[in-house]
Amino acid sequence: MTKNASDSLPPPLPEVEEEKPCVSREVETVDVSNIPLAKRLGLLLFLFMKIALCVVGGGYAIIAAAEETFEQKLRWLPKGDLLNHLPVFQTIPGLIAGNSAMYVGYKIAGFLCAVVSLIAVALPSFIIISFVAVGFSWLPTDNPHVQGAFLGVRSALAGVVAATVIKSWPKIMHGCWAWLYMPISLIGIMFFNINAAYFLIGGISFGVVFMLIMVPIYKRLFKKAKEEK
Amino acid sequence: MHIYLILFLVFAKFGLLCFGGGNVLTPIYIEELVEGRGWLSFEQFGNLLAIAQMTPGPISVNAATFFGYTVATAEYTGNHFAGFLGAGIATVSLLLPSFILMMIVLKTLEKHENGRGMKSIMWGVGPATIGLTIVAMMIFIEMSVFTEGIPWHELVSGAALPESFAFRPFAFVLFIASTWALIKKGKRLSIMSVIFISAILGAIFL
Repeated sequence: MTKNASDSLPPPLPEVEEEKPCVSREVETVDVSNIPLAKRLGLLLFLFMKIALCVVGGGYAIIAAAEETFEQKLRWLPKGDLLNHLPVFQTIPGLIAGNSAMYVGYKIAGFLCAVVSLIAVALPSFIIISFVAVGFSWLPTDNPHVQGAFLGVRSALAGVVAATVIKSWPKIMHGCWAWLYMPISLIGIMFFNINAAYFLIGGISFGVVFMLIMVPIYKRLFKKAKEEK
Repeated sequence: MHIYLILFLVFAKFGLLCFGGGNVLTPIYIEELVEGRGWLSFEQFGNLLAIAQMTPGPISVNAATFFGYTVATAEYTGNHFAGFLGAGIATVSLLLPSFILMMIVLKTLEKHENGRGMKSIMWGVGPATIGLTIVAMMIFIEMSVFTEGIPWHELVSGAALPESFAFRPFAFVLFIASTWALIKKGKRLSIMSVIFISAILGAIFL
């Protein structure tokens, strides 16, 4: 019975079509399952520690470095894989560096490797900052030159944040929603002392409700109206 | 509640709210650590965050480690071991929410890979992240270019400004110069070197 049923279905043609891109991908990427798990874990730990230590400049720089090592040098991931998943790394709250590291680890050896690469991203800065923190408690903060240095650092930090605002402005600030919600959240936090978390949660819920529920309903209604005409 | 449990909850909240870069968290840090719980002074907070930005590694991990260490050593009066434990708890709890969410997403990702939901979340929350980053910028300006928080109330109502409020021209020059340097020469100059140069200039001239 089952044999007859499977014979009557026409599966071979779509299957062949689906396999073609897979074959070409496997030629490009290295089959990870041939490498022993311990070696994969060790390499991930070492490489992500190196990336987190050497790459200065936040999440995007770390994604670029991970692309170079895992897509071009090792070829463990297909080309463009990390960049395609950038919206995921941005949307999941947390560090972009940590999220992309977890993704690479998960793709290479599943759950355990995701843990290992997350640890690898966080461990170097944890160790360095622990030393810095101990040294910081010995620093003579009453000294005018030390205070001056900190004042200089804080001014530069204001500049760093201003530069990030200016750089990310054209990417985000277009459309009614952005021009409405940005001033509201800015004024609400600065002058009315409303908890900043509420604005983040509000933005997420509006995005989901509007783009995933309202827009499809609107489009469907629009289509119906067009068909009636 | 025990201090370590509070640290865990506070930093897990930071981890959940960290959208699009470490600077978004600055107003939330201030609300929670400086104003809400009084664990750090305003100046101390600025110095710690500046050092976190100078050291290699992701800024939020650096900041969480540093804040955790400082809070725990303040609680246990200079015990370094307690500080390291606090730093570890802060870092792990910062990363935990994104780890759980990322695992859920990776399990379900293959089914609908077009990422429409992800894009709509980012579209909705993007303006708020810009707003929060501008608030962060204002906070750092108030800590450097001016001697204290800008007295908006007096400015609007036209009353006399408090005497302790003053403008620091050299800090303003540093602020403008570092903004310009990072925008125009951002590919050659790293954030670390800009901050380091400003620290040396500040130590000499301020």
